[in-house]
Amino acid sequence: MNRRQTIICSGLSAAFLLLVFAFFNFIYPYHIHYQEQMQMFRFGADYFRESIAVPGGLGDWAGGFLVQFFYYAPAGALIISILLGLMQLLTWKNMEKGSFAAYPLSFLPPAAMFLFLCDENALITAAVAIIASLALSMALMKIRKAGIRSIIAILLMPAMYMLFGSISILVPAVMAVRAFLRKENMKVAAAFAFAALMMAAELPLIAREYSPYPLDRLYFGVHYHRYHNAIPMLAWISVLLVPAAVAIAPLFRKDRMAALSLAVAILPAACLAPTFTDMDKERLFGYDFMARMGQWNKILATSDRHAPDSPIAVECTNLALAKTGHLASDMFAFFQNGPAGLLPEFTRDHFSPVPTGTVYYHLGMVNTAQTFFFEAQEGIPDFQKSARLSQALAKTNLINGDYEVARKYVNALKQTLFYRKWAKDTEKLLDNPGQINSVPEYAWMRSVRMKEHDIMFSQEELDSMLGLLYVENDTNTMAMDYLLAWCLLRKDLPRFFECHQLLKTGYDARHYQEAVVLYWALTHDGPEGMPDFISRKTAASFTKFITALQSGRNEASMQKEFGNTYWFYYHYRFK
Amino acid sequence: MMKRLAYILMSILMLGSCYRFDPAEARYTDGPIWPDYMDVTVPVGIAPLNFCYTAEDGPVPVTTFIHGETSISIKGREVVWKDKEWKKLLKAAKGGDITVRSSVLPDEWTIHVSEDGIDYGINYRLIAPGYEVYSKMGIYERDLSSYKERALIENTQFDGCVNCHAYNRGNPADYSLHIRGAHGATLLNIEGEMAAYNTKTDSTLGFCVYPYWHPEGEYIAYSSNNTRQGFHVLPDKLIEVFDLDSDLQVYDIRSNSLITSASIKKKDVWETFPAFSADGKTLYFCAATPRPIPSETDQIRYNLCSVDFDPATGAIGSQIDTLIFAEGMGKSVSFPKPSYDGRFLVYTLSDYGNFSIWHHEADLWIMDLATGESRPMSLANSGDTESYHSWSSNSRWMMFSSRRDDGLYTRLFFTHIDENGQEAKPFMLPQKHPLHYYNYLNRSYNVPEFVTGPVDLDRVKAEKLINSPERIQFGIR
Repeated sequence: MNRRQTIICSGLSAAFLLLVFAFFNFIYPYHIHYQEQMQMFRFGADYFRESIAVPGGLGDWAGGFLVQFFYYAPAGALIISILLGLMQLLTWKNMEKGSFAAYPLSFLPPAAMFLFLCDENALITAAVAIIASLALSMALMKIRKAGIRSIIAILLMPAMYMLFGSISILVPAVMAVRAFLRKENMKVAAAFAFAALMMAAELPLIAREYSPYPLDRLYFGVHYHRYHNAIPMLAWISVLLVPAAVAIAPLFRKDRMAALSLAVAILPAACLAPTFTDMDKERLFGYDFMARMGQWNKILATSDRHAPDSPIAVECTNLALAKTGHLASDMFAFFQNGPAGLLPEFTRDHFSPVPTGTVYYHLGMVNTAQTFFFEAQEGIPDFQKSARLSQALAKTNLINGDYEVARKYVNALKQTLFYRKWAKDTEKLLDNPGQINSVPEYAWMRSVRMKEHDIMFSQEELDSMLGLLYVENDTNTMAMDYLLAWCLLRKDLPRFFECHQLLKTGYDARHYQEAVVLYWALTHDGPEGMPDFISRKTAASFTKFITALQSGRNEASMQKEFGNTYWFYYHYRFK
Repeated sequence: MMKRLAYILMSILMLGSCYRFDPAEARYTDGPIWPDYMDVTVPVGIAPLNFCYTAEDGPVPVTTFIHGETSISIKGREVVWKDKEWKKLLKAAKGGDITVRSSVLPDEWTIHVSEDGIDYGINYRLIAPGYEVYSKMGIYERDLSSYKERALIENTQFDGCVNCHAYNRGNPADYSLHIRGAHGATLLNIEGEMAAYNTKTDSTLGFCVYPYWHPEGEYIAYSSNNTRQGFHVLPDKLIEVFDLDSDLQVYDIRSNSLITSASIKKKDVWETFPAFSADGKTLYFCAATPRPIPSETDQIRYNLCSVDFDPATGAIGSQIDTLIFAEGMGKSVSFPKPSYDGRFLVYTLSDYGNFSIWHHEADLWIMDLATGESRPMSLANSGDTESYHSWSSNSRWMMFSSRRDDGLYTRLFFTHIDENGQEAKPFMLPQKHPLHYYNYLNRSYNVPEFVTGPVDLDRVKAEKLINSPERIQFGIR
C-alpha cells in the first residue's frame, strides 16, 4: 500500500472505532449498564481460580474484568470499540499479502461481532477469545518451519480451549488457511488441518469428564452468551468470517476492487443493524437505570418524549411521579395499564423484578424488596452474581438489622472496583450499628418499613399492606399515594373513597378530586353534600366529560380532550 | 483514579499469590477463636481443625497442642495444621484428650479424640438460601479426612434443581436423587444401575420426595407434598414454607410399585418426613391436622407418629401411634431420624410448620426409643436455627445444619453421641481457611447425609438420563 492508501485505511479503522463508540455511548448506553449489573467481577485469587476452572475461563475472567468498567457507559463504549478495532486489526495482520482492496474485508468479523454485541445477553468473552486466538495465530505464523509451527499449534490447542473456549479453533483454522495460501508443503498443511479438526472434536468430549456442562455448550462455548441454551450464532459467524476474509483477501488485488470489498464488509452489517438493535429494550434498561440512580425528572422527561408502553416503563414512571409528589395529580397524564403498572407481579427472570423491587424499597417494604432483588440475582442465567443487586441486598439486610448477612455482601463488594468504597463505608456502619441512622436513606427506611404487622406478602392484598405501612407511619405518604393509586387503577372507588378519608393533607390532588366526583356521581342523585375540596374547575370539567360521553363522541376524540383524567381511564382503559 | 489503577495493578499481581489470613475478616463470634473448637469431641479421621483468633491486634499468638510427650506449636493468628502432623497427633490421642494452650489466652482447652470412627464423607446440596429462583446448585461430596470437595451433579448440566437425595445407611451404591423442573425425574441407583423414574402416579398426590431407605434396601419410603412458600413482610422472619396437602407411600424396589395405605394417606391429616426404624418394622413420620392457609399457618403443628411396617409383605399397619404430641406443647416436629442402632430418635422441634430451617427457634431434640423420653440436645443447640440432621452409619456421630453464625447461611456441625444418647459440644465442618471460606461461600449446606465411601455417580450418564424424556413409571400396588 502506498502512503495515501495507508491513510485511507487508517481513516477507515478510525471511523469504525468512532462509529462503534458513538453507537454504544449515545444510542445504546443503557445496554452497557445492563451488562455491568449482570456480574460482579472480584479481584482476588479465589474468584480467578473459580473462573478459570471452566473451559474458556480465562476469556470469561478477562471479559468480566472489562465489563466492570461498563459502570460508566462511555468507558463501556470505548472498551467495545477498542475490542472490535483490535479484531479488525488482527484480522488484517493475519491476511497473507493484504492489499489496499482487501483491507475492508478485515471489517467483516468485527461487524458481525458488533451485531452480536447488540444482544444484551451476548458476552464480550467471545470477542476476547477471537482477539486472543488471532494474536496467537499471528505469532505462530512467524515460525517459518511449517512442521514445527503445526506441532506447537496442536500442542497449544488444549490450553487455548481451556483458557478461551471453543472459539480458539480459530487458531488452527486461520493458520491452515494461511499455510495453504502460502503454498507451503501441502501434505504438512493437510495433516495439520486434519489433526486440528480431530483435536477440536475431541477436546469438548474430554472436557465433559471434568466440567459439568452439556456437550453442546462445550462445543459452542460456555461463556459466550448469558443463556446457556442459546447458541451464539453471530459470534460464530464472526469467527467463521475471519478465515473466510483471510481466504478471499488475495482475490482483491486490484485497487479498483476496494469499493466492492468495502460494500461486502459494510453493507450486510449496515442493513442488518436495525434488525439486531432493540430500542424498546434500551428504553426499558434506561428506565431501570434512572430509577436506580433516582433520576426522577429524567424518567418523567423520557416518558413525556415517548409514552411508556410496557409494565416496567409505566411502573418506573409512576415511581418517579410518586417520588416527585405528582402521582396524585399527574399519573393519568401518562398511559396506565392497570394495577400491574403500579406494582407488577413477580416474574421469574433476572431483570423485571429489579425495578419492582426498587419500588417496594422506596415504599418501605424492605423484605419484599429484598425478595425481588435476591430472586433477580439468582435468576441471572449464567449463574453470575450482580454487584448492583448485592449492594441492594446489603442495604436491605442492614436496614433489617441482619448485620452479618449484610457483611457477607459487603465482603464480596470490597473486592470490586467501583463498589469498594461504598462497601468500606458500609462496613464501618456494620461495625458501629449505632451510626446507621446517621445515613438519611437508612434512617428514613427504618422509620417507614413495616414493624408491627406480621403478614405474608400477597399480590392480591397489596392494598392492605400499603394501608398498614401508612397506619404504622403516617409520614409515609408514598404508601398512601400508592394505596389510592392502586384503588383507582383497579377502579375500586368504594375502597378509594374509604382510604381517601384517612388523608390529612394532599386530599385535594387533581386525580383524587376526579375520583371523588366520579364516585359521587355513581352513588348519589345530585351534587348536594359533595366534599367541599372539589374545585369548581373539576366539577365543570366532569360535567363536560359526561356531556361529551353521552353525545357519543369516539374514543380518540375523548382522549384528546380528557386523556389525562381519571374519568377517561375509568371508561376506556383496563377493561 | 490513580488509587483505582493502583488497586487494579496490586490485585492482578496478587492473583497468583497464596492466601493470606486477614484478621479484619474475623466475625461471627464474641469468643476468642473461630470456629469454636474449644472442648469439642472429634473422630480420629477428621481433617485438621484449623481456626483463627478473632482479635485483630495484640501479640501474635502461639498455640500449643499437647498430648503425652508430643507438643506441637503453631504461631500465627490463623492456626493451620500440616495434615500429617494433625493425623499423627489424633491417632496418638485416640480415646484421650489433646490439651491446647495459647500464648494470648488465659485458659487452656481440650480436644477430645473419640474412639468412635466417623464415615468416609458427607454429601450435601449447596444452594443459595433464597426464595423460588435458584442459581448454580448441586449435590457435592466432601471427604471428611481432607478438605476435598467434588461435585456429583450440578444444574449446569440441565434445566432444573437437584433436590432430595438419600442413601441407604450411607451406602454410596444405593441412592435416590430427585430432580425438579422441566426435566423432573427421580434417579435411582440400585446396586450400580442408574435409571430415571417418574414417581408421580394417578393414585398419589404428586412426585415422591423426602426419601428414606428401608434398612434391608428393598423399600424406600417417600412422601408427596403439595408445597408452597410465603414471604413475611416483617424483618425477623423471611420465608414460610408449608404444605397444602401431603401423603406417604412406600416404594417396593423389586416390583417397581408404590405401596399405599389409608392409614398414611388420610384426607384430614398431612403426613410427611417418613423414616424407617432400625429394624425396619416401624415407619416414623410427622402428621398434622390441616389448617387454613395463610390465616392459620402459625397454628399448623406436626406430631411424631409411627405405624407398623411388615418388610416381608410390604404391608402398612392400620393403627397410628402418636409418639410425641407436639401440638399439646404448642410445638411442631420435623425430620425424625432414628439412629441405626435402634436406640434413639433425633428430631427438630419448632414453633409451627415443618420447614424448620426458616425458624430461628428450631432446635434438635433426642428421644430415647426405649423409654420414650425426649430432651433438647442442649450442647448441640444454639440461639439460632438447628434443623436437618443425619446419623453416621455407626450411630455415634450426628451431623446437623445450623444457622448460628449469621442467621441465614446454613453450615454443618458434628456432634458425638455416646451410648447413653449424650451429645458432645459440636464442631463445625473443618475448612483449610475456615474464616475466609465461609465468609465468601454464598450458598447454604442443605440435606447433609453421611456416606461410607465415595459415591460413584456417572455424571455424564446422569445428564443423559435427565435430559432424555424417557422415564420408568412407578406402578401402584
